[in-house]
Amino acid sequence: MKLLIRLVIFLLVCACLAFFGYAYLINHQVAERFKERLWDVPAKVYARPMTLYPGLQLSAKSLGQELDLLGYRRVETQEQLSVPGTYTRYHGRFVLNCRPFDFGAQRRPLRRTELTISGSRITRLKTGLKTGQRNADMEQLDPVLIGQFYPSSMEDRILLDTEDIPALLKKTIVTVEDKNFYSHYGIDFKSIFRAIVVNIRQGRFTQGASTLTQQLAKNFFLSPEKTLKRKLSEAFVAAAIERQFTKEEILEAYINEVYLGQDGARAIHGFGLGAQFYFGKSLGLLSPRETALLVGILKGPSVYNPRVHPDRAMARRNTVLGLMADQGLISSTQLTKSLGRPLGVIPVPRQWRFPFYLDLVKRRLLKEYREKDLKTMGLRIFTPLDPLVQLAAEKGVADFMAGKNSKLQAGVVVAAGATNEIQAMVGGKQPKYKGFNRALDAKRPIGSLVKPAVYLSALERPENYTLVTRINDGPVSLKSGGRLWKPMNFDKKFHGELPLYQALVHSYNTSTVRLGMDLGLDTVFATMAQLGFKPAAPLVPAMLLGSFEMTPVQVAQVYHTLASGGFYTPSRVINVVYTPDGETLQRYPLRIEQHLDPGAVFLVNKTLQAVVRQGTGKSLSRWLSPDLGIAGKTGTTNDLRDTWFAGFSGNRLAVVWVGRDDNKSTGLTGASGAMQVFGRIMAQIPNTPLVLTPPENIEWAVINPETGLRTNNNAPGALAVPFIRGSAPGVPDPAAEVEPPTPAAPGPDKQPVQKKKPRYLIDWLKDVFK
Amino acid sequence: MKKYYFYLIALALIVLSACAQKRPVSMPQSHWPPESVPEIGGPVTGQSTMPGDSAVAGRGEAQNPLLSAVRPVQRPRPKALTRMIENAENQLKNRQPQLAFSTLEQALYIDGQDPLVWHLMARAQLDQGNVVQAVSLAKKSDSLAAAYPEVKKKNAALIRKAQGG
Repeated sequence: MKLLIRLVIFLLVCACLAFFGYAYLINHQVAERFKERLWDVPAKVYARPMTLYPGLQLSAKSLGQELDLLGYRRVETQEQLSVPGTYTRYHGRFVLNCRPFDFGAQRRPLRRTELTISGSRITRLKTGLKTGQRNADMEQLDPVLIGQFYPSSMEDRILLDTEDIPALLKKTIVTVEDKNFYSHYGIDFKSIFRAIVVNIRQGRFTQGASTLTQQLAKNFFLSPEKTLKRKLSEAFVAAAIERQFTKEEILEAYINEVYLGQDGARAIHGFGLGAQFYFGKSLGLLSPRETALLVGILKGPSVYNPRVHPDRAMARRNTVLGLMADQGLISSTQLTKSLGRPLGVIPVPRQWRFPFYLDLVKRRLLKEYREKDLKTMGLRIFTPLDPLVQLAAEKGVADFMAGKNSKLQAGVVVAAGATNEIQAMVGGKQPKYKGFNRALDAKRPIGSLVKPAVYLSALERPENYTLVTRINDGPVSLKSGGRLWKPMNFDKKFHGELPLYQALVHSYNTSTVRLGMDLGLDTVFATMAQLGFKPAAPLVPAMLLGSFEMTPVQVAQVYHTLASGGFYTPSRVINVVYTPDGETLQRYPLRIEQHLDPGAVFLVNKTLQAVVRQGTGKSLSRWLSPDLGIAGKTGTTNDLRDTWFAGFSGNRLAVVWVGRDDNKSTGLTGASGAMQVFGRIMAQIPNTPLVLTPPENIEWAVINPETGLRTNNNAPGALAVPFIRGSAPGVPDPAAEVEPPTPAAPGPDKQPVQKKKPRYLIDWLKDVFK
Repeated sequence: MKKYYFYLIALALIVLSACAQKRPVSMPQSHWPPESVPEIGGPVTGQSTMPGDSAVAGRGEAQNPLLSAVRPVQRPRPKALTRMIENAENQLKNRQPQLAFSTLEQALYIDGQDPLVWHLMARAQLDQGNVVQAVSLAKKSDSLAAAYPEVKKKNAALIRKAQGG
């Protein structure tokens, strides 16, 4: 007997030791777990915020499109403008109930903005509180969310602090889910007993007795299977949580943790995101009946999905409303009013997909952040993507491709002229599906896009070359790699002696090769390096016609240096990264370096304007007014395999490549292929005229383009030509000062040389001493 | 006697000057293109535009924006830009150069060719001790400041200061 008692005592001691040991272990695990970050929050990537100001070139259609991208809902009357993220529109007059937004550096409050658009410009702008708006110089909308980097769990949530959580929500959750929450210690034995009785009576499992703390414990620490062992562990974990945290902290964690629905692969967690997902507003703005629905959904997010099963959801909401009224959370009048009201659920907010652009953003971020951190830390990343430009670029590609060979592909990059921020990127003709990103990865020969570098190299030597220097477009043959290379012009003709600028305007090959060889390959490709791209050695003459590979984004970098007057500006796709707390993690400011003489770049840009006005880019006028003064260059490679166009207006630069992945002939040229996409894109977005400001070292002279010599303003064909100061031809065209032949005069071959009248004493003396 | 020497030297100088190369300047030459003569890359008559093209700016205007813009005219500045410039200037005064730089980056969205914006960016960089960037930005401002002599003066002073002059 004694032995038995001893055994029992021993077993009891062992059980106690095991119990307390396990409790200690769990307690330690809970403490460790809560020390870490509790949730993986995806990184959010935002587009540029639209800045509105009187005078801004913006059509009503474009503003409507931006609001649609933002998920703003159009309502009919101003009375319906009660919810943030709604607007009314009557012709060109918009009234917006703007959402609040935290930009990190500044927080924009909830406000009402009124604006009038007339003739594709904002003519009036007022902003302020609902009660009174005042004229404003500018207003900034919240930015479009263009994508997220999700953790492997695909959980998405908006984390809330205690002060962001309405008291009504807390009380409703406690009322519905765990009435004794404030009195139990993690496990509610009374409820368990009641549940057992109910379940036995009904002969099946109908009632659960998990407390909020147990539900939290289950989600955080345990697997979802229903075993006795897991139930016991859950109880231990719940008790540990209760021991270490206050009730308020537990409730806050619960509100941030719970699962509330599914959006494709994305799991909607927490009431913060739930409120946005179902009602398009922040939690603080939910009405009691909306709160009731959200809490009601908790019981079974798919069973009570209000979009799929509105009747079930309505019944569940009304049950919750009843419980709220029983607990005095709402008045009976509110209850009666609310019961008959519709659910008020919005359509599923659209998730915008710009996978090619996000691909670029991610690649840049991965240079500085670990992928795990990127997907879990809840970073907020602000990019310069302009969704309107992006959609225009996608449409430009799609419209061009319609009815064309199905194997044609495209790569497009659009950048801001001043800052070289990439505003749009299309990596293929199916822009919504992430695949091979041709804008970033398709390395293709650039053809004639290299020519501006050749001419720039020449014009940087004003003592030898000006725009009107006569160069030779005759046949050329060179030994290259042991073989004889005989480049031809596209039109299979030679054009003899011609002014240098004409050779670029018409993209002649033989004159370019001659010029490049005279300058030296090293010189030309040193200029190319200054523009932003250094081709790999060895340098061969065929590279003067672009027989080396570049990606569209690299071409955009080179042409941006031209567009910015010789100032190299590294391209940017991220402006700033914030932590979830609003701290600046990393800023990516604008950086510039002067790489080239602005005067020489000005001369090249003037010629690139001539390319579009009268040269190989002439047919761009089908899409864009010549008044925009677009500067650009076409490029076509051997057998019409690649077609390129790079061009810029006063505020934007775009590079387009059209070709085939199998590298076969497209049957198109730069002008009939890529340039047509460029035209389509630029015609849809606001562009300002390209006005080139002559730098200090530029002077102008009137030139006879036939001779390259000076002439007077009235001479036929006289052209105003810019020169680097001191390089304008000194000798006037003799024909310019010849008196026009009189009808009686003999033919030109017999025309007597007329004696020029000396204009200065010094000229008279020269004549005397000649 | 001295008088005769003077005349002799003067005559000799005149005679010798005739041995100089022919005077190149006998026609007008300026920093600005002659208005009555077409430019390289200038407008070509008879080019049509696409009807209903919303992106076409200034179509039908009597004034050619290309020609007018190359002459030294100051660009009209929208109020929003003026306000941003004022904000940036205040931020610079309050020793917040980084914030000022961010404000000015925003201003570039409104007009990327305003030399004052670039000049203030140069100042913001100089205030942060980024001398190389400050000089580059001042030079960029200068390249756009043909019609802004005041900005050019400020740029010159900034570059002198940055280079320790």
